[in-house]
Amino acid sequence: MYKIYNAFICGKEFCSSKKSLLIMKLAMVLLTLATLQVSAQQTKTITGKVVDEKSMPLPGVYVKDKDRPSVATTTNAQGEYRLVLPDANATIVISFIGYDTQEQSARGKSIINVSMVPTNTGLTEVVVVGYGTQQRASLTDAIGTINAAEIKRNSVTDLTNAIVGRTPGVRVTTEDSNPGLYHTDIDIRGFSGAAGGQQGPLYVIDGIPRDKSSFDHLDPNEIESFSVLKDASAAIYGVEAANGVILVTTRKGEAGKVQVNYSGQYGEVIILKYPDLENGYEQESTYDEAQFNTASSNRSNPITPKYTYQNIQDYYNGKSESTDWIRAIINTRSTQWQHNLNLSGGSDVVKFFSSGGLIHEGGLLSSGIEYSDKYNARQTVTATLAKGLVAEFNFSFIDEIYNRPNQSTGRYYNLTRNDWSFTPQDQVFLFDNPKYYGQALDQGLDNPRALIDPNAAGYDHFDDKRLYSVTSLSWAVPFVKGLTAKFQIGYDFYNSVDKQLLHDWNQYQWDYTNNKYITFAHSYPANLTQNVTETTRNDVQTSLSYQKHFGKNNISALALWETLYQEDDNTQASSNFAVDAIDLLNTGLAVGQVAKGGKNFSVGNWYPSDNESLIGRLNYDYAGKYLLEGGFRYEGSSLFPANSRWGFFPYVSGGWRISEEPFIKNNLKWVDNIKLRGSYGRLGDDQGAAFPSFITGFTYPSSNSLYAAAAGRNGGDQVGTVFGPSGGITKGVDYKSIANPNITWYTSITSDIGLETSFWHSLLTAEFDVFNRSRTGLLATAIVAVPGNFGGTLPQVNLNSDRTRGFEITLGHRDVAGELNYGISANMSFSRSNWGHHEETPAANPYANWTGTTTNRYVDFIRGRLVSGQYQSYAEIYADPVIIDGNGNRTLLPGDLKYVDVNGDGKSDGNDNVVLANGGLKPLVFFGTTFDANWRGFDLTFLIQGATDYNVRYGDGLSDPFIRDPQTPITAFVDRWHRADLFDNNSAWVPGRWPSTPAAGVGGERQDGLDQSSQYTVFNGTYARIKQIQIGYTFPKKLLSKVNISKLRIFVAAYDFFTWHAKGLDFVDPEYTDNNPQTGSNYNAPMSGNITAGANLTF
Amino acid sequence: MAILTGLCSCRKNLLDVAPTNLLSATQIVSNDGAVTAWAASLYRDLPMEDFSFIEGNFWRFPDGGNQYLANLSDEAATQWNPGGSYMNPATYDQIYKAIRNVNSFISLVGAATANFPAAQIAQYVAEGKFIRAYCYYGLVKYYGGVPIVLDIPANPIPLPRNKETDVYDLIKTDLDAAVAGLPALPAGYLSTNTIVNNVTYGYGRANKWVALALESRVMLHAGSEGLFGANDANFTTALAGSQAGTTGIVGIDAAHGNTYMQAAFNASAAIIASNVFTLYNKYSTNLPQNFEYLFYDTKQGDSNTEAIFNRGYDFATSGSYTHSEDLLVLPDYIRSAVGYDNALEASCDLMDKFETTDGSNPAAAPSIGTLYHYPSMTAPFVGKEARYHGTLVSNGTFFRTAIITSQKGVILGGSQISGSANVQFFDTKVGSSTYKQFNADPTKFNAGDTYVVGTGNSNRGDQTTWLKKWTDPVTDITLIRDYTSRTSWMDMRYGEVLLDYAEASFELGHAPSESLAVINQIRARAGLAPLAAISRAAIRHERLVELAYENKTWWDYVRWRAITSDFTNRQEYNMDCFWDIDTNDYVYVRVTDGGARNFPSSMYYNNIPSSDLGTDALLIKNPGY
Repeated sequence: MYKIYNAFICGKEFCSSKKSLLIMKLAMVLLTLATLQVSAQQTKTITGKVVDEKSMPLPGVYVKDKDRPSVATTTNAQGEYRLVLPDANATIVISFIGYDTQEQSARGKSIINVSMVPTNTGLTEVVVVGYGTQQRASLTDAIGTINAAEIKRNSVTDLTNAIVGRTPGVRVTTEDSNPGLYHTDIDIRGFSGAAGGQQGPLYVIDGIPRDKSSFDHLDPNEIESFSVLKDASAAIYGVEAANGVILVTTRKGEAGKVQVNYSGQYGEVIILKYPDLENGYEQESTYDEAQFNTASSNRSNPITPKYTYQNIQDYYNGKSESTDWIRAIINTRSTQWQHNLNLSGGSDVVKFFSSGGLIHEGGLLSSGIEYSDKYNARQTVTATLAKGLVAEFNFSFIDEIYNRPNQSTGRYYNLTRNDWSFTPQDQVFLFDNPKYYGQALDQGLDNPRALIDPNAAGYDHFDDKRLYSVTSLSWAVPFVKGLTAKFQIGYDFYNSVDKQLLHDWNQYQWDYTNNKYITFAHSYPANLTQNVTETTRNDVQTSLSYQKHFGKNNISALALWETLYQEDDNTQASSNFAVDAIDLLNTGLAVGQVAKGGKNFSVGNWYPSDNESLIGRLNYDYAGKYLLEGGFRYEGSSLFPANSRWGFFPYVSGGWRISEEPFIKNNLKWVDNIKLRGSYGRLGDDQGAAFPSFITGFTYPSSNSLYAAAAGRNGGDQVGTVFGPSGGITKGVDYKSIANPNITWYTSITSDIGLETSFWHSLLTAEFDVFNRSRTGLLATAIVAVPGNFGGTLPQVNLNSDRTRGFEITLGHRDVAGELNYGISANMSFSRSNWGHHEETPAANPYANWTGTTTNRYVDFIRGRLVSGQYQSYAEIYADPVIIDGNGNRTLLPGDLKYVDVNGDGKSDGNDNVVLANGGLKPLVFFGTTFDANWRGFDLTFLIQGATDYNVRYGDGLSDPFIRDPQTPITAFVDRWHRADLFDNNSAWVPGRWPSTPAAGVGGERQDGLDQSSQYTVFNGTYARIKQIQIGYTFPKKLLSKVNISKLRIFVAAYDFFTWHAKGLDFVDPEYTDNNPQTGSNYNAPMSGNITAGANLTF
Repeated sequence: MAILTGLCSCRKNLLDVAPTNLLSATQIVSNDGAVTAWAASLYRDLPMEDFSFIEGNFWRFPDGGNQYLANLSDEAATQWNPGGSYMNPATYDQIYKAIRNVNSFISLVGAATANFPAAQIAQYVAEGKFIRAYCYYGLVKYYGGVPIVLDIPANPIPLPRNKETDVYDLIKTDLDAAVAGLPALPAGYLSTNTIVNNVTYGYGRANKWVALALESRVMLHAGSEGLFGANDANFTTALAGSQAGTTGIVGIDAAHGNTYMQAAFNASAAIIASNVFTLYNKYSTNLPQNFEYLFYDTKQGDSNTEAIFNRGYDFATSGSYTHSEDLLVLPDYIRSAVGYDNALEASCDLMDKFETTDGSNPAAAPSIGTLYHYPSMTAPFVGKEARYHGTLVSNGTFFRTAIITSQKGVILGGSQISGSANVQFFDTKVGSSTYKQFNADPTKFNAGDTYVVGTGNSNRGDQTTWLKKWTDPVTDITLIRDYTSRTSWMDMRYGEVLLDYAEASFELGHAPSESLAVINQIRARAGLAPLAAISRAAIRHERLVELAYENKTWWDYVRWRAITSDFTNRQEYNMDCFWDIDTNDYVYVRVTDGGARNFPSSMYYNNIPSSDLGTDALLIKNPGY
């Protein structure tokens, strides 16, 4: 075992040997099962009485023979039972709803009386809170938890996807499924950095503030507990905690025999809904149609269509072959697997937990260029050095390797855009010869298949290594009972190497005249860029905590000093190649070598950051009934000048456990818990502060000219000026904006009121929260009243405000019916933000104020036109008194949208826009329902997750069939208004879902039919998914004990198994956004689900 | 334990984190290196109308490539018709930022007496004044009179506009100071470093001659406005009817005009008298190549006797301190597959301006729509003077690695059958290759049929000329992508100074021999016969031909107050080339490119951006807005 363990944490080569070991073990188990024999036994009668925790008889309790489930009975009104056992040495199982199930051996007994213990309704559960733990019953804050076992039971490779839908207010959207990139967006209750921004919560892992990436990379097998601070109690974390805090603690060793756990799974990654492209017949007819439509629209002369009747017929008859460009680059399936092996054990003096894992995930690109491999290891040792003196070391290491196409702009952006711009007439490879990439007939774009070929457009290879460590020493001060002193250091180090190689490659056309290839060079000079980033984070905490009980009064207190220091160091080097066979920098050309770097160069900050904080907290409760908590954080941030650097962020919360009052406790026995709680606090945030806005000066070296284009691209890399006869550029300086000596924290006032209830021993649980967060002093640059001739840039000032409000509900039900033990829990959250003051250019007139300003408005709504239908005929167009195209409706065609003239001015135009729907950022409502059940050895878990109150509008190729020319429209546009015979202008119109197709790049109102925001093009983005489903079987212990296995469970699981979506949105996945933050466009990478099978094994 | 000790090692003043890349106001003037870095940014931020001046933005990627000054004037066939303001509104504020920066340079460096000797400081200050003059010239020609800011205001306060003549006077004062304070470098200074009072002068940096050349340009502009302002009735009416016009905030009177014209003459005469520059004549046996290389021999280290002030680009050390001119203008065959619409093709108007060496100068396709038959593709361009072939690549001529061809389609039975953008019908011999006769019915062209793509084909498919001036004749064609062009921008050259001199001399009524002498110098370099008599038209004609595509022509039309007269229902044309299947020869047809343009007199100046009118209540609008 030592050898295996050693190999596991040390090597990547372990994969094969571990696999064979697993197979061997499984074979042994099966063999044992096959040879089992049932031996003859004698019967025995058992009687007894079952009572509850107050010694009152419990009727209806289920009693059965453990190994023979058909041998069973229930207790009578006096709590008595009688059971005839076929085996005198059998074990009986006594179970009742709301109470823990018990097992008793009948060996040598004929009377078995049982005293049932009420099930832990979660009230005694220990919850991790900021800088400590607390019992759930005494919590006064809105803290969500997710059971670590639930997180473990998933088949996704990143942790964020594993927590989707499990607790209300933790809102996750998936952006795409590129392996190793973890493109998810998470926020707590809709709290983001700036309204609409992408900044999420603070992640605190093992007490150290870390980032989303550290969280995503955690191995679920290593997680002990998971909590989310959703209200003012997050104030204890100060900086960046205003958006909520996710707290994760990893597992520690437990004293006792060394336990070895293995879990592994293997599965298929499956593409979710992704738009398909038209085939040759469809694309050519749509294209010609578009030309004809535009000609009839413009009343212009008949034109020669691009594709002849024969061209189109050849596709229809199958004589010409269409290229499917989606299938050329995207597969529908890929594979993934994961393994984890961990050990836990030790004595009272030294305990350890060791874990190692690996995950492989394949991407969907057909060249196989996309994949990620993650290797992780953790070692935790807890040692009692002397009485009351405990040291703990927690080290973990993650190495993630991922590979993807070398696409500098927006990852999938070029790839998808080019894919849609190639046509079915174009060839992926000329004559199917993979040496000859086809050059499109009508354009010079890069062939998308070449873009994903590591030997053509190259690759982008990442190797991220992360070391996390927490070392602590705590001392229970012997002469003051209840006083503990603790010192903790967190030190993290990341090293990331990103190697981007771009090859020279050619694309070809065939010259039929001379029978030779025409070559098109698609290359820069071959180039290699290597980025190395090193990040260190250093967190030191010194604390004193104190606990005291006197009478019914309980007091605990905490004082803590924390210092957090972070810095990045980045080096980037690139070189061009004459020979690019060797992808090493030192084989590059002498000319064109570039090296850049410096502190935080990659993020453009050039400074480390430092925070120091004094934290205090006091908890008081009287008889576990009246609860009170107060805390503060006094924090200084290096982002602010000395006079406004320190912020004081206090919070208070209180709770009243109504169920502990005698009038309920003594009368309503079915009440487990009723608690009313509330919290209020002031939090600070320094995110978004442009350091150092409080000093002015000259940034050296310069990064840009002051003319750097506000919109569009800059004309080069404007770092300075070429001076002198040789030596290139003399680097210049940037002028910093005018200083704001008073820049400071922005503050956020958060309040929450919650009600927690539990009845009939968890038969019904319900929790309800309403919350409000108002922020002031958000940083913005004043834009009013600065004449241009001032010539300076004003600094950020604490100017804007916003507010987010919402509520959350969780309902739960847990029951035991015979051998079936099941639970169901449903949660939903609603959250919406609106701007208060939002600094913006004042509107010139009331109409512009209505359409253009954001102050005091919701941050997410879509404006557009109302549509009353589609014109069915020319007659209907001519009869319409409302002018839609600004041109007497002469350009309209049957099938075009009838826009409503809202303001009654006889025409429908931009002035008729109304607020159409909520949407644009994130759904307002998220919901999730989990279900779990156990029956005999079987277990089932599933999760339905969804979102609603959200609308989405698509641009580009998803709304305009020929946004570019050439272009292949998505298949959704096949269902369109068109003439029965495309070549006959007088043939009848055939109705379809979409208006008739306009030609590429043609303006005018008619052609806006599809890309104009309207009721017709704004889709309801509501969806519900079977997010997770897992069915497992645990083999009986009896069988396994013979092969020294203490537990074996096998399972099959699926992720994103099935999706319901709202009507109309049937061409893309409902989470496909119109402006993906990863690409800034509609060119999203596909999303994927998976189906896996695996096993958990414990020795 | 060692780790523990390491981690705990205390840092002083933890929260006083300093940015690692910020120089303070003291550090920036502490030594020549820092001042030079500062100067490097000031030069970068000059409002220079170079390759990246597009759509009224500086340092902008060309995008569509059809909003250069050449598209605004009549140089390029592809027209830009803004109908009013053509400057990006943000530019106004941006130039004021550049002015604030240079004011701060003049003030901080001027006060750094502890760090530099007085002579050195004087040079720096003179350089700062040159930069400030350059910035104000940008503002005044785009907007007319603007608020003059010479200090570094601590708070934003509204300022009224100064008179246009106030601004020109300020520019003249600053430039006179620059001329006096900057060193007079010897000939060849662009290819060597010259150290004067510890400051290194040379390529890319102003000196006495650069200041004089700018003064010649600016004063000619202001002088012309004064002398020709009354010629445009539309404009004088507009001025009379606007507050800006009646208060002199825009417009210059004739008396001032005369003074400025004299200043232009003096500045250009001083450069000529210095004998530091001569017209570039390195390839005197091949005059077209000579004119082409005049604009290529402008990089660091090149010796170019005509260049006065260059902006250099650099690919080697930065990878992207570059522009994208080659990608924008070259024929498809000579650049990467990802190209642009080649919107700088010459208009027939410009082509016709170039003389033939025999003096006959016939237009290639004088009437619109008529088919002009030629025995070869190149026939219409044969006999054009050297500058024509140095400025443009013509259809059917050899350029770089191939014969550049472009054919819009074929003519069959007298009707024109056009190819598509990239699939053209060729039916001829091209160079030494013989392409198969295209005999089938051209209307039944099917995918897979034989076709040939012209080497000069662009996304527009109907080019017959391509811009050669400013392109890189050397770099491997496979390397021509976006952000890879590194030819330098020759911002000021001796040729322009000579033309300024000739014009100023003529307008001041000096003896004709004075202007004739320099005009004939220019003509001789182009291989043309000398003129015997001088006229305003001859001087202007020479200027439009010599300086085509140097972003000067538009300003010439502006200062000659000619835009409302020249752009009334003004239609620009270019030519299409066809192969006539019946007559077996080439046909050139004059065709329109865009509609007719009418420029209102408001286009002499741009609108003061509405955001600035909103933030500064003292500003008044320009006439016509």
